[in-house]
Amino acid sequence: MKITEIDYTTTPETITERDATPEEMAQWKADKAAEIARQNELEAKASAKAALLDRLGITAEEAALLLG
Amino acid sequence: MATTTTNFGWDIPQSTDLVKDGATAIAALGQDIDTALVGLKGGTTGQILSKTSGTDLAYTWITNDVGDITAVTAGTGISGGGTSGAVTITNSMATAITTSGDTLYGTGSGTFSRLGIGSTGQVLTVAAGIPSWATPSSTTPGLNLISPSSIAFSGTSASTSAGKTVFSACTSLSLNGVFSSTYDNYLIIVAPFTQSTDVMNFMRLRASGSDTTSGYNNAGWYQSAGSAWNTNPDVTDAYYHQQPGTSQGSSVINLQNPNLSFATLMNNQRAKVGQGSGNVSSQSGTTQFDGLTIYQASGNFTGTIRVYGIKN
Repeated sequence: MKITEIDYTTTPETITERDATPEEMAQWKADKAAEIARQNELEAKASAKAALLDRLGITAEEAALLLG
Repeated sequence: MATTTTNFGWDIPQSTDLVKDGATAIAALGQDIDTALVGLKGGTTGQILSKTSGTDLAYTWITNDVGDITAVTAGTGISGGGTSGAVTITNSMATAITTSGDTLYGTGSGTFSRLGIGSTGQVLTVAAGIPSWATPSSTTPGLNLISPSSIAFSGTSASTSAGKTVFSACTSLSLNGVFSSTYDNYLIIVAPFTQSTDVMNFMRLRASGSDTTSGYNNAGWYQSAGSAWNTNPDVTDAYYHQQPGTSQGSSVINLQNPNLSFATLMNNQRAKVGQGSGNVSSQSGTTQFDGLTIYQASGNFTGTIRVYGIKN
């Protein structure tokens, strides 16, 4: 992964392109894994919600009315 | 035999001439004098003689110039003058100016003083009733747009001009040098903002070029048009920022205390077409942050970000 840095304290600005450091790569991978886990969790919740509504035989709007 | 006078050449008898010739010689001399001095004839009261050419005895009567200056007296603002010969007068204001950039200002009735030029960036102001050059306050009350000292990004492009950072197809964007002791609180506007993928975009605080990845908490909610409110699950490694997906969105963030040894608190109002959302978030550490990063783990984001310091 390439990182571009622009330093505006110099005239003209200094532009540097470098590879991501091992720490940055590790963080990027952790963020990506967390995002995948988050998406899986959201999908699991959505599936569980749909299954529950199906068992109850009501729609999401009707469920919202019950909870409202 | 006649001879002539030394200066004008008038005929005069010699001492050896016969007496009988004396009358004739005297008559000739008289006529010469009469002819030579004809210029003295005429004139009126008050007239003076004036040479008409360089020839001896070439003069005439003239009327002296009426209103000739007989004296020059220096008044207020000038110096010099005199009563005879060539006189010089000098503009005192002009001589008070000694250096490029000097200005003059009044110090009272008919008096003035020199004010040397200020330094680059100074403005003319008033102190103790007189003008002076002063360095303007670097911050004025209200919102002050802050230009980052540097940025770092991963993606297609990003650049800052006049405090506005525009980014395109980035997976991360960091602004450095935007939080300082100059301000306690900040307004961050990210608008317009859109994503290539419908995933949450996050924000992290950073110090000395490194992101802080812990200590966050988020209470987030969203409502699509006509639907019930929903909540975002808490995350602890970043602030919620925005999730417009491929729709058009923006966020208006009030950030408190990022550069103080105090928790950094966020009030974030998010909007996208057809949905309103927001989050109230915290970062519990006491690190004095100087920058921020927005990022997302998949896809990329495009938009514009501005950071304002709020000055009392």
